[in-house]
Amino acid sequence: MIINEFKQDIYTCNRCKCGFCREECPSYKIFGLESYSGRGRMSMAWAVLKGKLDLTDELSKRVYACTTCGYCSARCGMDVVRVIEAFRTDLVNVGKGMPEHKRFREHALKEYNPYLELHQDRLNWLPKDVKLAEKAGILYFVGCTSSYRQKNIALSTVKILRDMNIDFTVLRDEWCCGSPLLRTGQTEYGTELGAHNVKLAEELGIDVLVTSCAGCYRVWKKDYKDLGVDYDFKVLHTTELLHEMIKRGELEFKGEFKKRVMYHDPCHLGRHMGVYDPPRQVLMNIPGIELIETERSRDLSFCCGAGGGVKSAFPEFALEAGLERLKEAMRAGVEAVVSSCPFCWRNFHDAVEKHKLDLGVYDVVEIVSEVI
Amino acid sequence: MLKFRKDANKIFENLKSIVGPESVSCDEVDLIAYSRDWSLMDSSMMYLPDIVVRPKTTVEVVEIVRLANRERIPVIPWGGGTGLSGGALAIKGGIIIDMKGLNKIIEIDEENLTITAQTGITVQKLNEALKKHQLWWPHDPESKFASTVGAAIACDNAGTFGTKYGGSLVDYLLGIEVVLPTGDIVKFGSKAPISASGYPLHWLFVGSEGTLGIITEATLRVYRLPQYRCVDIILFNTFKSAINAGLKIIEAGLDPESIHIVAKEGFLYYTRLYEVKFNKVPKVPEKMEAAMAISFAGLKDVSRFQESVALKICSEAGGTVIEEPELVDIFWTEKHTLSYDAGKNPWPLSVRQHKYAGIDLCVPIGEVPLMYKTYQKLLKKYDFKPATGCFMYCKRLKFAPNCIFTINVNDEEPEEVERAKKFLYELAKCSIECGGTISSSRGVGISVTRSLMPTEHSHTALELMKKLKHMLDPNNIMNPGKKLPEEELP
Repeated sequence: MIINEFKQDIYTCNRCKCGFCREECPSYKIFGLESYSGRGRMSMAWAVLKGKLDLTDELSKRVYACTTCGYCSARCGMDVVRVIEAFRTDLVNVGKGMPEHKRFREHALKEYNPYLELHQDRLNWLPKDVKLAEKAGILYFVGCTSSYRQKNIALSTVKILRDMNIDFTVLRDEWCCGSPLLRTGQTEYGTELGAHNVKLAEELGIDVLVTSCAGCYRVWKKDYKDLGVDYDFKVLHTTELLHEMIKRGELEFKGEFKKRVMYHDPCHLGRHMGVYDPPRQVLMNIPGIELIETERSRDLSFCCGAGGGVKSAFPEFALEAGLERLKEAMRAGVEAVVSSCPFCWRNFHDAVEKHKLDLGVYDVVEIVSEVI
Repeated sequence: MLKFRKDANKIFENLKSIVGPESVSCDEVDLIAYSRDWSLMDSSMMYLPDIVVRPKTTVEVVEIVRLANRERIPVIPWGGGTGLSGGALAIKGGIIIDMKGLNKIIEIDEENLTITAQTGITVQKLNEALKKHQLWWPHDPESKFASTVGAAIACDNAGTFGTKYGGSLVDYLLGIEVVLPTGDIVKFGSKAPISASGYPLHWLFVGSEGTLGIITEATLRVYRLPQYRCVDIILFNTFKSAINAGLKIIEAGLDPESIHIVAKEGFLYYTRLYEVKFNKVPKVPEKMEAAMAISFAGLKDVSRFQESVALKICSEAGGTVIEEPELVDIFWTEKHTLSYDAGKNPWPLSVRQHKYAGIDLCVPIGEVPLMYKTYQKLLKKYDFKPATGCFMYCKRLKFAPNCIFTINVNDEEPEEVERAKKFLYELAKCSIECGGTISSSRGVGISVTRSLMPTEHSHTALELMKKLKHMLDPNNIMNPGKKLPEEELP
């Protein structure tokens, strides 16, 4: 059992039982029973280690009905998410992973994306007049979601890069970063996917890799290194790049965006990687924007509901959690929710459509591309 | 146990029809999630309920309790699940009623300084709601992020700010709504701050540990948020000198909002972050035995004046005032957040290697030094290391010492757990001998000290308690086997 590596954490939780992980855990919030909280999952891990519980389907449901948002870890201090991901690998190893995740893993290994799309269509979003350079200073790593679903985010990012006259390119043969597999306990192919992407990036001789996806960002900056896939260039989220340029006086906004907005911290960018200020700084520099902080923000932010394989395996839960977050925005009287992750965008957009909410959903790059 | 009953399935289906299928479970993963709390037990121990159910309304609670009463099934109210006495564990199986679904604020009355809320709300959430109105409920336990208002009432829980505001839930509780074990709903009390018109039965439920009924709503006295707070820490060579200084502060006419006296281990525990942050241990006198954290709140000038008088008294009593604001800040913040660095990071006083165990005694103020000596003697006798040592909140009536004595226990060793129980038992026995009590803020639950109830309380008093319990709960379904000495289900 891989969870055995985290025995100390699991036993510590079992001794302490403080339950601080629970209150704003999206899974607990929606499902309501203790087993859907960080503490509940740790108690199951403890029971499995003690030989008191088998890896059942119900256990699998509890372990997978978690967005791995990391609220529990922020409240607790222990890396509860890491334990949950290890638990998922143990479940996968005995065939108790979620069928939806197994399906996208099988596809990702053939077509290098989890969306059941063809690899040859990956660059279909790219404007025809963008020429892919053989060498470049900056690589825009697009990610599967922006390549196949939220093309608006990829297009906005490219528009910004071009408007700024930045020497950039994208990979001709970009593969899934591996995030959907790593977050769902299907860890065995992470190294292979990482090695491929790193090799191509290095061949371009880049100094900086920039991505507009919070999930890809975490994988590039943390998971690849943890998996031993190393590289020698800087990795930035688009909001970090934009913030750096603002600080250097290289980016000024010509237009206005007259809206009262809430910035939503994507979990993989915020809690997982500690990037809280750059997106806020970018937004605060845009003329006309009124940026609101709600009760739950930064490290105690409430997840959009989509991450950790939840959107595919528990779509209703994902939408309910998304709605919970949007309601918070509406209580604060904002006109739009702005995030910096295509997955958050998708889930918020779906929730807005389903519940016919009068609320805009944007990615930071969408707004920047409008006012640049 | 319910699972052996032929009609178990029917009962489960009935519960589903009451709360909806998503809010009731008898799957082992759910039962395990409700099988342990923060109390002392060996690491393999768990108490599985038969069913867990999470109602969202008082009406649903009523229907669950009526069903349980009709079918003679134990029901156990569950709040934050952070209890230190096992009060919410299903020791006889039955139905755990997770009250956290009842978490609505019903009314915040700014003019009359009250809040009425469902009791499944956490203490933290209640205070977040009050803060928007510039109000607060000064009850402030370390478990506030998880523990509920209902559990605070049911255990008569302690918090930091009792020196000024009371500290017992009796001081805050104006009225309650209770679902009795028969399923009847009763409202007690009102918004009136005092009343002599009837028996104050709402107070009967303070410290009742879920044995008399389920508290579903509470009206609490709240206060305006203070404009200013100053905090100081003074180190003393003996517990006795710290206590004497505290008494003199009160006798001088000062009005501290909190006085919290901790042993050296407790001081090091709450300042652990200082060590992590600055890579050095806090400077303390070698002979230091206790630290007093004291706070004054209100208008700045008034608070600062009181602070200056208090510090003078402490210095005259031999105390050393900590001058480093970072150290004071860290102590105060850690005391109110129970963060990772002190609690779970690997170091000797954290729960990473050991289970924290403790007992919440209260003795007459003059007996505290004796209790502290006994604690030290018993540490040696039973071969335990102190966890956070001894700490005391000075509660209601300004100086009611709510003393917690703590040890670290290796919960992987059942023998050591049993030894720890003997240690706690002996300490509790000493408390009674000193004219004190076996529990001041955590409840008795199923703790080892429960067998001392007949020692602390007279036979006739205990019989009256049993009769009272029987009158309200004729079928003994409400959290059976807790608090009072054993009484079997009929």
